[in-house]
Amino acid sequence: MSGGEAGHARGRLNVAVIFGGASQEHDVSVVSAQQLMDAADARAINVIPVYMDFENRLFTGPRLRDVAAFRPRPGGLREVRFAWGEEGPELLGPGLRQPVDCALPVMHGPFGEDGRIHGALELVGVPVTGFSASASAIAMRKDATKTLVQSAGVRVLDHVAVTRQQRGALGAALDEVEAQLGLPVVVKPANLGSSIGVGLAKARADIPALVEYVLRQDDLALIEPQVPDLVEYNIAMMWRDGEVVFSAIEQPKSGAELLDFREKYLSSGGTKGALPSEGMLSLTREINPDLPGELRARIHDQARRAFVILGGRGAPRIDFMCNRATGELWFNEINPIPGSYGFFLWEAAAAPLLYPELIAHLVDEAMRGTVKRFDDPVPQDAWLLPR
Amino acid sequence: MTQSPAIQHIEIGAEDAPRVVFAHGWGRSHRDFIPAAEALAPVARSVLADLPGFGASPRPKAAWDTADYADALAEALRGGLMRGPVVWVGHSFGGRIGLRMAVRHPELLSGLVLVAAAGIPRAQSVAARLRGGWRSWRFRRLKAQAADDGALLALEERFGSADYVQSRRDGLRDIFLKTIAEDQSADLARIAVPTTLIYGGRDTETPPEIGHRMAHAIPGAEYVELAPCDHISVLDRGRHQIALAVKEKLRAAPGKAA
Repeated sequence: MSGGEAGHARGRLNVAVIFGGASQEHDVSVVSAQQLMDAADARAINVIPVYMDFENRLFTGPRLRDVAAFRPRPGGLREVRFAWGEEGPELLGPGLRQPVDCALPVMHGPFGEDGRIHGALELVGVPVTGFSASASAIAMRKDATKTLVQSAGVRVLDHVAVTRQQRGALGAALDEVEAQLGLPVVVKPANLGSSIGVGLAKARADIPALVEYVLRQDDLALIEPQVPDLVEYNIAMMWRDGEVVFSAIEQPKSGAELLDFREKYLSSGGTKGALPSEGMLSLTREINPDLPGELRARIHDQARRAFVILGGRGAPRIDFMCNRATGELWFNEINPIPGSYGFFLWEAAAAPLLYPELIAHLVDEAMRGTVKRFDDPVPQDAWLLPR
Repeated sequence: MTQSPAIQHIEIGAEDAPRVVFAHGWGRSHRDFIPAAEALAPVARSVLADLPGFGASPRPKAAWDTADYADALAEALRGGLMRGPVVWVGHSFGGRIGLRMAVRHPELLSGLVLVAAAGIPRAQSVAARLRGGWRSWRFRRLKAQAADDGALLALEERFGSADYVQSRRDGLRDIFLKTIAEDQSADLARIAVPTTLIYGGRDTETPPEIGHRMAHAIPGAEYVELAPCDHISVLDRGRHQIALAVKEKLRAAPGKAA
């Protein structure tokens, strides 16, 4: 966490932590990144904070470590860009040439978690943590991930997709919903995170307004049957020593329990401008809930299959839906960059990892797997031009 | 040392895991270290103590120095508070006691993590020393002229540190004056347990230069600086680094597996 400019001089890795971005989850990203930057092992990692503003410009500066200075970003920053210099990847700006060993995006939602920032970094040749650009892009689309994981033996809910072009003539889609899914159904955005609403339609007539609401913010709406007696299970995973290892399982509290939390939280005086404490947030979820061994094994099996087919890199979190009465389990979505990077799930894992150890894993994996190449990629028998 | 009062504490973590003792700073309580202990819960059994005179623990009858505190904690450990050896984590004043533990009761410790620890005098420029001397002389002179307790308190608030002022309210002024003056420089070279020192780059109470000099004097010690942290935020923003230092000590301790 030390702010020394010359990380190399002390044998530390220069890790550019990228956050912010033109996303509904900009503020969450800033907070997640502050936690991560504080937690990175200061002996091994020199953190270089890199902020992306609402116009996708990149900035750096020490004030990015002071969350109180954000309005919504601090002043006194230098605009920078990633480039490949004589010594390898670097951040370039007015009066600044900062070597970079690895980039670590802590961004949620579009322009960060959807592969765009990964693509930009891969083109320059900067090793970057987590999913590749293409895997990130696929993970962003809930309908695409469902199709992919289903091909790998993972159970998913059926859905009907509605695009912006179909908005004017919903009749066919509504018929399909009634015939294939039945009612009630849930309408949700295919690309955006949970920060925008998920609506419940009990009758056919409720559906168009919900679809309209979702399509104002996303270009694809998904309609799925409502899971009765719903309970959710979230789990993170990573490749380590040649196998998939899992975090603890998290069970978010249900709506009624959550409402209870909000009431308690607000009645205790709220945040008074500060952020809710981890202690308070922990009341919104149960870590390592008491589950039958069979269900736990099924969650692990389904999570392993989905992780391998979707990207197999970083430490994403997969969210499952479960019918509490029947025990049926469905893959819901994958978050390549989960909130708080899921560190609290790793602290409570069967093989516990502290947050600095999780970050070290992400960086180590990225450094080993960079896509930058220096040779001629064209095989000799495909040469059309002289060499 | 006089008789030791009961040491109130909480315990966090797996019962059969290796042991850790967390000791808080002046005017604070066991609560400071709850987040770090919770992060370590699967791999460490932690005792978070209210040091005598703080939190829920009554003050000792006599004016203790940090050696008395260390002896009382050692006695409590031997008496069954926790099966040793332990990793000692001390913030500020709790760090002073940790240094004493490492010298007086090394058999009880398997590691030492000092967080913004006090224990040696600050390096001051001649000008700063002169300013301090002048302030102190003025304080003493005005105090002698103070008409009543109200005037005295106002002077203390004007001239004294926050901890100095608080120590009167807490009825701990005698212990404060005794411990604040201690210089453990001569003992540092005798510390043989693996030691990590963690300091905030913006700490004005125990600035990084204190940590640098202590790390230099303690054989084999490791120094970690957290640039954006101050004397108190190092506990919260630095909690993951504190937990990491503890976990490494547990892993390295003979016969332990963290």
